Amino acid sequence: MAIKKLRMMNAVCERSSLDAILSELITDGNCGFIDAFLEIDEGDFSIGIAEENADRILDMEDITPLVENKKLKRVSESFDDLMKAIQYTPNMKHETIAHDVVVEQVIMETEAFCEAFSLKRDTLKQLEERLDYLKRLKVLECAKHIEIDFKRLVEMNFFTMKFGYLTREKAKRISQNYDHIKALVFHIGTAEEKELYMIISPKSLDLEMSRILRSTDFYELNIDSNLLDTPKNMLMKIEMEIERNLGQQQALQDEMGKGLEPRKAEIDRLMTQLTTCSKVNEIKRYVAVTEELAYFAAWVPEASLTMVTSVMNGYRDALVTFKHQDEVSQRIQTPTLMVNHWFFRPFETLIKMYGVPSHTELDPTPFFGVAYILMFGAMFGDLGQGLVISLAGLIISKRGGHDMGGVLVRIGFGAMLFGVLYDSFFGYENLISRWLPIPIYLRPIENIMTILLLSIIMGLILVYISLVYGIINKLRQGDYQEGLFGRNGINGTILLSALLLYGYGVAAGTSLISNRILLAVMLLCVTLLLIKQPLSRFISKEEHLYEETLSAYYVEAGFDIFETLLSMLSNTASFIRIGAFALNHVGLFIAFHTLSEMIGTTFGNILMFILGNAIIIGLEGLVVFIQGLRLFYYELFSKYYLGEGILFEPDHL
Amino acid sequence: MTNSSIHAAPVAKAHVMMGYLIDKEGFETLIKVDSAEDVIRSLATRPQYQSFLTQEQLASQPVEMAIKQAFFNVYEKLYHYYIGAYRDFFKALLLRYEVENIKYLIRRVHNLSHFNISPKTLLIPSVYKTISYENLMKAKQLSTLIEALSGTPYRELLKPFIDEEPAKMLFHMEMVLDRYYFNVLRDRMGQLNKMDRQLMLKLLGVNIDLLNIQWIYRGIHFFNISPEEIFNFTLSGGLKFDYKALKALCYYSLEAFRRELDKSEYNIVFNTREYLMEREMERYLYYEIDKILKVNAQTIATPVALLFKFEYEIRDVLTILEAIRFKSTEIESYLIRDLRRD
Repeated sequence: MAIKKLRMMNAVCERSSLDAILSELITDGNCGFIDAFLEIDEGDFSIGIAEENADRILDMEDITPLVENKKLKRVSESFDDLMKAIQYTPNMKHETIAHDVVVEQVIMETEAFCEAFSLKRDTLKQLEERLDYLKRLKVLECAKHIEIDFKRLVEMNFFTMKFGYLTREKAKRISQNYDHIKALVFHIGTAEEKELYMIISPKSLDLEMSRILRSTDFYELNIDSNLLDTPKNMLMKIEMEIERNLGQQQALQDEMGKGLEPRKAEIDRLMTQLTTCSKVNEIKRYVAVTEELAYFAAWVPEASLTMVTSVMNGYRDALVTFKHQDEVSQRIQTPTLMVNHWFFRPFETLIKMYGVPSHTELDPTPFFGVAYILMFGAMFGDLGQGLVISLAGLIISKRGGHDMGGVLVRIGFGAMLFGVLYDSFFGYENLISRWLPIPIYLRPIENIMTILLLSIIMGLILVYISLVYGIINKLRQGDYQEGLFGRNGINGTILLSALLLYGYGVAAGTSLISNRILLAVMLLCVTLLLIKQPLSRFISKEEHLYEETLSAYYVEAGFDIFETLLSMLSNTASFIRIGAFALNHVGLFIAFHTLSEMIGTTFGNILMFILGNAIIIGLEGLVVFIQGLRLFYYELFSKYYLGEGILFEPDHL
Repeated sequence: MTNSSIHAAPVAKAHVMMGYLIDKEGFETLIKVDSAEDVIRSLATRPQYQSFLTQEQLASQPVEMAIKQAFFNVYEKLYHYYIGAYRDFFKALLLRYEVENIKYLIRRVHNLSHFNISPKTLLIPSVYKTISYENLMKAKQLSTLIEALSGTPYRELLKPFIDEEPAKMLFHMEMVLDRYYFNVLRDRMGQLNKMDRQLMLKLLGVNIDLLNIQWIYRGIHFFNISPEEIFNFTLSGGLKFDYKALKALCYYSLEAFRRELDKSEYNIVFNTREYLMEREMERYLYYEIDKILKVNAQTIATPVALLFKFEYEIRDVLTILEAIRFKSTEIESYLIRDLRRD
């Protein structure tokens, strides 16, 4: 339940078995391939230096990247086109994958399949194009008022008529130059924000005119000779032809659909093979090859090592080595594989919204999950409303939104838990306690101070856990400056504790530890904060004690201390909102309750009950959801979580 | 929002960066340096180039690229201060680099001798990228290049000229690309606040005038394109030349054309050698920007001026590096800034 370790696989195989190996690996979906050249360029590509492998290492001198199979891409596209044309979505059939299939074979089969439908598809395509063209011609609508037969205009002996779009600005340009341009330019009308013009010029000037029109970005609209007539009649002809073509299109599609019915299994198989080959093809971009051998590299989760090894062992002459993360060059970033208990898994989405943990960090998901459920519950404590949220979550999960649905189910559960504690059922207090008379209830509105105090205590507990996480993370990454002396390190934790104890002493009038000792501790902590950089650099015996100039460092550090103290106070106080929202939640319902009493009828009561609950669940639920996230992202994550990792995404079908 | 609230931060930032720019004395020293390494060393001490001219940076790319990256860095810094229409405007300014890249790519397939120029030398701003350079670089013929542009406005713009005779074709394509850029820019300017809009339209007006003059001159007197066509290509919105003046320029003979220009504001552009025309135009703009800058404090003028001046500085620096490489003795005359001017 955390961030799992990955290994870097370096593998070499015969070029002839490359396709089959890649196909098997992506079917299993355990490997995240990276560019083999990254490893090779770093001089890190290792295949185990045994004598038998020596010739392979020598061979690496003439290594080149593998070129993509363009034909496959083309065939695959035309297959997709065909599927779209016949409106059938093929299904992946994993059982039909054959790893030893030859790409050329798949290409041939697909081509043959497409060929069988090619005639009909071409007709369909032509029909579609014709329909598009006819629809474009509908702009003639704006020329309806012209009662001239276009056919006569087109067939003039000494003049050329052109019809098309021109921008107003350009039309003006032509009219500004009428003294030099021998043409008549008529504005016909406006269609779809474009201006339609008719241009008539002497045939002897056709070449000049076409150049001039080109310089105005003129877009000519060609009208088929069989359509030519008066605009009104042309529109009628167009309408009729559109209708006729639509009928033909439908008939053709039906016919193709019927011809397809018995071949569905074949289509599914072809699609599966094409997808596999395409994916293999895609991964081949990362593969380096020599004349006979292929080299590839991938990240593999430790848990899948045996599976991957057994795949590789199935091929003669395939060599594979696995390296630990720390053996891989720093320039290749290790991705993060998060594996969490099913209970916490949905919360990964919320974590990723902030950032993916880097592989050296602790996975914050379990802590986040538990704390978020409690925090949401405390702010939104109501048995009935919590139940609604959980049910809504279940429905969303069923409809495919597993992560968001899962989160809702769980936080709804938190709300139910606190609902029992707060004795609140759809806003009505004292109902649960009547059914279940045990002395555990803590109604927020009757215990305002206790609730606020408890929320601060809850906040503090969360802050301390965060600090522990932070210290572990920092020390694991070897950042002693922050881990030991930083504000979120051990030093900061002690400072916070001393401040809290001191504050408690002042407030309660009795101190647990003598104030003098506390003050001395605080002073020491602040001093350490101030000199954390030179101190840690001194300990690690670095040459330069300061990264910047002395004065710049201390000015910055001074402000940093000021900010540290301020943020400790504000961070802690920030958690009051947990209690405040618990109160707010009750308050809102009281408001609706009062409204319903003002209406005074049963109908009014029911209406307000439903409306009130709907608004509280929708609106306040959202606010609390966001506030909870905010507390985490801002007050807690900033202490221990960077989220600068990249996600491990294995290549699969 | 008021002008000062829109511009307070970027203007302050631009002022600081303006202070970093190399002044006249700086350039006077630079042109006397005789090795490229010394020029680079001297640049590396300046804040705007510092982090781009480190040993590691220079090990992985040519110095030109590193210097240009410094420019985009400044650009993006300014860009992030703006939102809404202003951000759109700054984004549109970046369109120019895309247009220039396409011009370069066209020239590259047109004239195969440039074929081995690395694609890395293209200036690709990360905040403005509507085309896939990967595919474009693969194109070895003009037709495939233009097909690779499908899905972008460029394809429709360029396609009509593909069958034109080679020399004219390039000129035509460059004209439509420039025209596209200026049209987009003018559209975006329309969304700015009144004062900024007027300022920018004025600057754009000068730019348009210069471009129109150049087109008419080159189109008619070099490429024998008909005056009617050139007139259609010219951009409206110039500052000094309205359509009547432009039309007249289109139909003048070369002598009359020169005479007319000599009488205009832009006489300087044509008074020296032909091949320096472009430089003269830039020089004119360079000093025009100074004028605008002097009178407009809390406006868009400052950040835009910074970008212009920084770009001109970089181009001058690159000119110096080039001149050192080719051992040219006339560095000064190739610079955009006039070192003799006070």
